[in-house]
Amino acid sequence: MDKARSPLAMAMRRFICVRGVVPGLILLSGFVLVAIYAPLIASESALLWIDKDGWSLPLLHELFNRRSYPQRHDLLFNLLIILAPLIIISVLVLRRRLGAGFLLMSSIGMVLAIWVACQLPILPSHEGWRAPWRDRPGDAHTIRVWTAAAEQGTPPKAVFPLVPHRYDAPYEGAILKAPMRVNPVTRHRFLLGTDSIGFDVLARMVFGARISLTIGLVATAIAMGIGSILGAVSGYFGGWTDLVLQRLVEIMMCFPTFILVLVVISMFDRNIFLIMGVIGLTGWAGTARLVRGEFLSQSVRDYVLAAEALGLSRTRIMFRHILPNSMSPLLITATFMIAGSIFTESGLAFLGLGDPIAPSWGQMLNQGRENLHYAWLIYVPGLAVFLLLTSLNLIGNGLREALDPKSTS
Amino acid sequence: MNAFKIALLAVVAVLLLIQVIDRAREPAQLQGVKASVDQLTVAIQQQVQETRKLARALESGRVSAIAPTGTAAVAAAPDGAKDGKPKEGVNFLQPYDSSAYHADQVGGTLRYLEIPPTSVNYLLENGSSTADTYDLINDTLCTNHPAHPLDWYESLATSVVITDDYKTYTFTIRKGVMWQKPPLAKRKGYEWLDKDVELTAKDFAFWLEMIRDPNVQCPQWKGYYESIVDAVAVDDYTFRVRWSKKEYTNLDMTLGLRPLARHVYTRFADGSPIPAEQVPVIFNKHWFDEEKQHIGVGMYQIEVFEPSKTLSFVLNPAYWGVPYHFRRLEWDGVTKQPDAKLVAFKNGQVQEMDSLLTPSQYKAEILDGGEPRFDQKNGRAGPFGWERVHGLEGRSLYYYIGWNLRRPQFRDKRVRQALAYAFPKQRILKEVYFGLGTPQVGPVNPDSDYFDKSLVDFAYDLAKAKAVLAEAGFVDHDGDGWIDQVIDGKKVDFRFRASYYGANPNWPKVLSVYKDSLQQIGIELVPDPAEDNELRRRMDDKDFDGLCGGWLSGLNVDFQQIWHSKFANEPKSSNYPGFANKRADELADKLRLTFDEPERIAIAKEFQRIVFDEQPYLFFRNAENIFIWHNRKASDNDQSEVLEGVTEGLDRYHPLYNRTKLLWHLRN
Repeated sequence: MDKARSPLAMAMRRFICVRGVVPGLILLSGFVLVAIYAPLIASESALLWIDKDGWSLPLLHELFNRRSYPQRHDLLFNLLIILAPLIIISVLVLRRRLGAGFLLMSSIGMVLAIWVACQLPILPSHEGWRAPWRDRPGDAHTIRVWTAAAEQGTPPKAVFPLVPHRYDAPYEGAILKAPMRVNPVTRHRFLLGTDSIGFDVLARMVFGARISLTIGLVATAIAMGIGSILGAVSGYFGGWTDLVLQRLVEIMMCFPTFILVLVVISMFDRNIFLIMGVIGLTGWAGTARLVRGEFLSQSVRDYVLAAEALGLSRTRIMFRHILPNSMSPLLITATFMIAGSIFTESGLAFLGLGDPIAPSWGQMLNQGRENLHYAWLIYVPGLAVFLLLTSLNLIGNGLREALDPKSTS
Repeated sequence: MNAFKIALLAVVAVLLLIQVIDRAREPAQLQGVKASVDQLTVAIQQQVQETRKLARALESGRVSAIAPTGTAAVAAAPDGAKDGKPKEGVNFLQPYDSSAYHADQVGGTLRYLEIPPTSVNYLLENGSSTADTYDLINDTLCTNHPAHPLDWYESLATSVVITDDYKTYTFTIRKGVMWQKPPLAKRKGYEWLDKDVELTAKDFAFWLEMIRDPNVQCPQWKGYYESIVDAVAVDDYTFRVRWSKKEYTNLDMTLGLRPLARHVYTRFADGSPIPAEQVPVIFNKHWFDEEKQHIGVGMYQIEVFEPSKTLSFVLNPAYWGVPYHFRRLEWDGVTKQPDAKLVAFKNGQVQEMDSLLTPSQYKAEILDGGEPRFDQKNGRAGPFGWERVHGLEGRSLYYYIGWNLRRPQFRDKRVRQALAYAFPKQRILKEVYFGLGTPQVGPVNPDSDYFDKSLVDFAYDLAKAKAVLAEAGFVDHDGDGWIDQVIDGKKVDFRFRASYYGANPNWPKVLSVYKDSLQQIGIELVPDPAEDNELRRRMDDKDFDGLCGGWLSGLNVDFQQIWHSKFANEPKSSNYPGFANKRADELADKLRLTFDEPERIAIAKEFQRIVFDEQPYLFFRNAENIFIWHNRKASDNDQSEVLEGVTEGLDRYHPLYNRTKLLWHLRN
């Protein structure tokens, strides 16, 4: 006798079987991993540093330093470096025994403990590791520390990340270097070349993944949040509320989103979080319509009538009963919306309207447009955008097929 | 006997004839004598002035030995009065120079990329493209040499005499100069425009009358002419301007006056006269401007004008002076992006790039050999020519980052000096601009005589910057990696935003390198791009920390507009940093009243030393550009009229930028 399966497990099984979903998932996981572990892939600081004074972990100390990672989302991703494996292990191994909530809380606690530990001089602390992140190692300073130590006969041993360059350090004498050329300062190679400021393209690509994913998730979350609430209210209450809210939705839909975003961006600072907010705030109209449609059909179902008969509050009925039952179309839309948001940000940056500091892929494409003769500036970010959007579209497509009620049989 | 009488009568007749001829010659002889006396007077006056100057120089210790003088100097004196240097009581204009013109070399069409203005009425629209248009279609009373702006030449005025302690200017207007006839004159109903009208002094008076009339909306001009007492046409060829006070800047404003077509702007479209009191009101929206027409007395006249799209000119057949060698000029305003412009150039759509190559294009196309038609080493050898040009029309463009001195972190001059020490100027010039530019050290054009060569730039030195900041009180007190200080009871972290024009591709690069440098001494720089209007607002409201900007600086100097403290807190003034220094104010005021060149130079140099020490700006780069041109047609099949009849190559600078280089397109 077949083992009984939950509807979720059945949907998962169908999802995995859709063509293209597995490569899409692998690609997306790859991007997510690169985004989370970006500092371990591209950093000037050594992973491990051993010299005559002892050993140290410079990179670990740097992770929660605002001066090394001034972008706000970096802090979150750096937390995930430790949090992500804990969550995965918890979910896979200990879920049934201890309960997910407990595990989540305890892993957060652990991360906080590690963070605090990084701030206190508990780990070995001496100039050997402290100096590099204090005075930006890639420049002459590390070289000096290194050579001074070597001259004294005690060369330090160090393990560096794959890309031993910072994403935000313009290297002197390294303008528009082709891939595999040597950094005249650090003598490490630029695996994917440099751009017209002297930034390492690969290091920027790695950190650009963080930006792209953050934009996708934040903008989509904003749009989904606003769209769901307005759609729910509109669909559940109907009447005048519906009439007014739907006209509002129609007005929003009349605006060409990209142009609207362009206008808003040109009026304010070009902060990456503002850009995310603007993309989110201008993209909720479609979601609102979708949720309204779902609510219209669900609100006459028996379970809703039963909940109403029990005297549950409207808010509870809307968000605890109807909304979870309307999730499948939302989930599919969200996947495509993540792709759309990333695309919009890339477009903005390509037009020179992005955040000038953020290492976004669109910014890099913009540089490529200015320097058409330097192919790596176009192909590398272009390929990354293409792969990420393809993976998201494949997954969205898989979800649509898996959650389609007609295909359940 | 009869024969004797006849001979006697003949002798008397001959004597009478001789007498008559002699009488007739007398005025000419007298005039000759008078001219000699005049020349001698001028020579004596000049000699007296020279002697005074020498005496002053000796007093001030600038000159230690008397230069050899003698008969040669005295003999040269009459011509010396016309040396182009402004002086009182005599006509000092050098004669009009037409030597560079070759009538047999005229022809062809020069097409280039420049965005035409929205209107060509220079009084109402003062954009740079309107100014460029006006330079082509209209002339000024006098012109100055592009490379030596202190030398003045005849143009529409054949003489000027300054009197009344530099307050009264009297011009003699050139005779026989005719106004252009607009293309509109050929249309039905406008026949009245198709007649010859001679330029008179009244046309210059009309130009000033319009500027000074409160009903005419040209605020950008009014400020310059506020202190004029009157401007009158004494007769058709004599024009007089009187100022209420002596100021050096009045010189440029008066000698550079232009005529305005009075015979058009005082009439309705049907040719009937506009009542005098209505002229200024109607001028703001005149039918002639609405018809996209404009005329002048210059070398070119407008052929076709589509605001912001196209503008073409043809040579004025009745031009009084020396024109450029091109029969036609065409402006293409449709292609705007630098990349698209370069493609248009490569495809032969235009013969040269007015906007010049961007530094990254220079690197990609020439230095890295991206475009093989450019000869990397010898700019003139390839099918495409290129040349490094420094400055335009004697003016140079310098870039700066201006500090808002109203912000607490920038108040101390030591902090601003430290910011200069932390700026890797040489590296940025080399890596962002690929060598296109030289370091700028002060507010004066380095090519100018007023420039103080003794200024030694701040060398890049982070340790020194850190030490100077510590001396000024900025250290990392709280150990967060950023330096801070308590100012006015408030803790101030050294963090600032640098505002720049977002469409400029170079500022983000400059700021990225500077940011990296500042980060190492604990200062956080946030690049803050803004669109045109937003940046203008920030400048007007002084709402910025650091401002990335540029000034076009001529060879002459005047420090009031940018540096005088009376403008420090004016909302829309050009003193963006809010710079205020008592001694600098005194010097700026004194410079305005000083006409003596050595004295002016001394004042300017002292002023520069103050500004350099105070560092209200981080003076950054004096621009150099790459000018490119086609050496031959785009292809053999190209039937377009590429400089037909002139030459196959464009060799020298842009003809519009440098009038003295009229030979620019002739092969060596």
